[in-house]
Amino acid sequence: MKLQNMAIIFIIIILPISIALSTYVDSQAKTINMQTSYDTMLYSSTYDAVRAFQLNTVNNRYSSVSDSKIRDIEAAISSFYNSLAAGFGSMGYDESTLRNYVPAMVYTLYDGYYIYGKFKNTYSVSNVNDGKDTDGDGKGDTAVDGVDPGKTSMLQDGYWTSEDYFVEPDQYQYGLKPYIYYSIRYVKGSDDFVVNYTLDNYITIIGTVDGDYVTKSGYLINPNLVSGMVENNGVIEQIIYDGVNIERERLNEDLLILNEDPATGDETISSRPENFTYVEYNGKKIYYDSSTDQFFRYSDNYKKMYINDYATNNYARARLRSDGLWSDSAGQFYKEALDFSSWVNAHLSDITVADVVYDDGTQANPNGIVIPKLAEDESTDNTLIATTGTACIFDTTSLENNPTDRSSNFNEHRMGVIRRSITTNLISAIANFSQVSTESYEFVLPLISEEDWDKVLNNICVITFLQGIPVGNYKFYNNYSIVTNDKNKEFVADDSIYIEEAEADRNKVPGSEHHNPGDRSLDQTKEYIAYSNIDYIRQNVYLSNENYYYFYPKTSTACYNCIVSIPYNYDIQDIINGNTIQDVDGRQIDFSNSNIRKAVVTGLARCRYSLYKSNEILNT
Amino acid sequence: MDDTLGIIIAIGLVAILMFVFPLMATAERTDDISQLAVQTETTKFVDKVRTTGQLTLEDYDKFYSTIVDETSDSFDIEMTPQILDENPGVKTTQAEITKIGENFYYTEYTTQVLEELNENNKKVFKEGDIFAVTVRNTNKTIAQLLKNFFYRISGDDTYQIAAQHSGIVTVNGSR
Repeated sequence: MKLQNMAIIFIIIILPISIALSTYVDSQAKTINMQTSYDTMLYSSTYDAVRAFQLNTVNNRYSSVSDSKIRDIEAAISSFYNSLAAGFGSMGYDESTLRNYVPAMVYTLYDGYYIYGKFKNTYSVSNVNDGKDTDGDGKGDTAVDGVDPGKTSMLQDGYWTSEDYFVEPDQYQYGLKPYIYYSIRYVKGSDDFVVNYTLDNYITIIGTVDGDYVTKSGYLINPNLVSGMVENNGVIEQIIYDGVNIERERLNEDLLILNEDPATGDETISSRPENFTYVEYNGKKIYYDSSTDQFFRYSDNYKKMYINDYATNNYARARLRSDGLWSDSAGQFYKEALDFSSWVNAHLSDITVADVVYDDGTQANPNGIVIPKLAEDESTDNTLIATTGTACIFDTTSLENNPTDRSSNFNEHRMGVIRRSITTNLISAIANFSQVSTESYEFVLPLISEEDWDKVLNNICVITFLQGIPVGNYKFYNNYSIVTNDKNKEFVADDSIYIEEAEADRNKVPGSEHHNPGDRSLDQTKEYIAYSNIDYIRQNVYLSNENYYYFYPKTSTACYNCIVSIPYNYDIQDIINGNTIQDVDGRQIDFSNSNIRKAVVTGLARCRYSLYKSNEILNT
Repeated sequence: MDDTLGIIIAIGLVAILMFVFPLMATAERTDDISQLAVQTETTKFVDKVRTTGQLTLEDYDKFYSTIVDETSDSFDIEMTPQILDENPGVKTTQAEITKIGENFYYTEYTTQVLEELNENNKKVFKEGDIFAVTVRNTNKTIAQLLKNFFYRISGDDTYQIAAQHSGIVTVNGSR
């Protein structure tokens, strides 16, 4: 056979193979592209949900109140669907179709979380009055009541009987399921109690401890680190925590006030924001108006709401100096944490992970918290994490178990509890969705990576799942997205504060800057003051359509270097713990006596003290 | 005779192998690059509107000329902003205008947006509006022409380059 004939035969054989292969590779590539674009859309929709939550809560002065919070979350979820529908719109999916592919959304908050999904509302419409025929046309009023509008046979006395319901009284609906706390039960001897954990070292203990029924909550710290408290008429002038001298601070911020003329009732907005000093009382800011020598709250309609309440007035008056209010919240924080921690150490110091009892009654593995294994997890059969072993979780007097330290036994245990709680509830929520979904796809919780768990266990975040959308090649999309919310009023993370020079802040020096506490260029000898990052967010004053104003409570501008080049900043944990480190320039930096550490520790304590905590009322 | 036929077939195959397949592969890669460029520009365009709260005629023209210049294809830009209804009270009793996600949206379409742009040179958005853009090519790219020629599988209305981006506007635009 000639060479060219052989070549032709070769080509005739190879050509179809290569065409088939390239088509196959092409379709695989398309599938991957589609998955990537779905990932992007899921992420950006989740981000929009977080953004909407931030914008809504920052401008909501009652955002800590439960009902108001639920409302903010539901609004954020509806933003998620709006955004998802806008993204998927070009592919022909609308919002109601997309709902069939979202088995669950998780909103983790400070002390627990909400799962949003489809569930059976067991509220029954068996009360036949619901199906009343009010317009008297002999037909049921609405289909919403569950009555077939066309039915006439069973009408009795103007009411429908239960046989007329054409649907099951128990309806499936989308909504937030009840709030779930990060909690776990311990039983040891006569002790039987539940501990609610949070994203930091704040815990609530409910149950029988040493024969008494107690409900206590507070920050768990090492009680040996607190000393030198100077108290004057209930005001903590000074307290020392881990070598940091915590003193009172003068806090101030700007407000744009809507003034009302008492005679005419005319409302005028101030031409520029006014500066006031404040203290925080029960999670609300109390401002001092030096012109009238009165205290006020900033109301939801942007007015000064003068305070008549005796206790609040007394609290503020006791903290008033000649140049305004001086807060002792940081001192109060450590005083209360000391009381609580001393009690916990005296009563619960012998509790270990072996005393944990799960909700199904099973005793815990003595080595750690058991996390259920996920369907996709083939890597290991070891489902234990948080291996605290025989260590005593609540004995915080030793240096190894300082609850503020991320690697402490307490913290490992806390993360194990939260992870178990979220995993078990999500597995069942997503599996249940398979039963109620109109899609034939079997919904299961995908494997969440360790990095993502780290985000969930230490931040407020939103986890969304999108599953079951066909992506070609007989494959279905199954992924999740986690976006953390670092600007919120729920939780003060270690890195959610900025510092500025105390002198400049007091005198409101124009053009001053606020810094990341880890900024390497800061002069460690100057005095600093820390504020929450929320205070630097723009607030809006919304009077009517097209008539709105903006203002910044804290007017200093962000320092360019320390906020842009975060990788070069000092680690916030090193600053808080007062470690000695060697920086990239080879300098030895000792944070133990640094003024920055003082500002950070004081600022964090103050912000945490002022947080609204739903379990605080349980304190007895 | 035998030889001639073999040679003719061989020449035909060689032509396909040496010219048409590389051309198709290159054309497809060009489309991939165009796709990437258009996606990037679309994201930039939408994000600018989201962070400034306004869409100007200048931005739109710049966006259009950039994607056309970068790819030498022609495009259909579909803008579908969803506007927060300023009067939610007509539909529910509880909703607040300032609460994002709690109220209703109505959609505007490309022609309405362009009309407003031509009249006022800009269109202003509110915090909470959603701005969505879809871009598709309207001409036939070389890869599409070649595919049509050889496979005859792609229909007339399919597009090769498509980019989409959308998101919530995070600031009230200045008027």
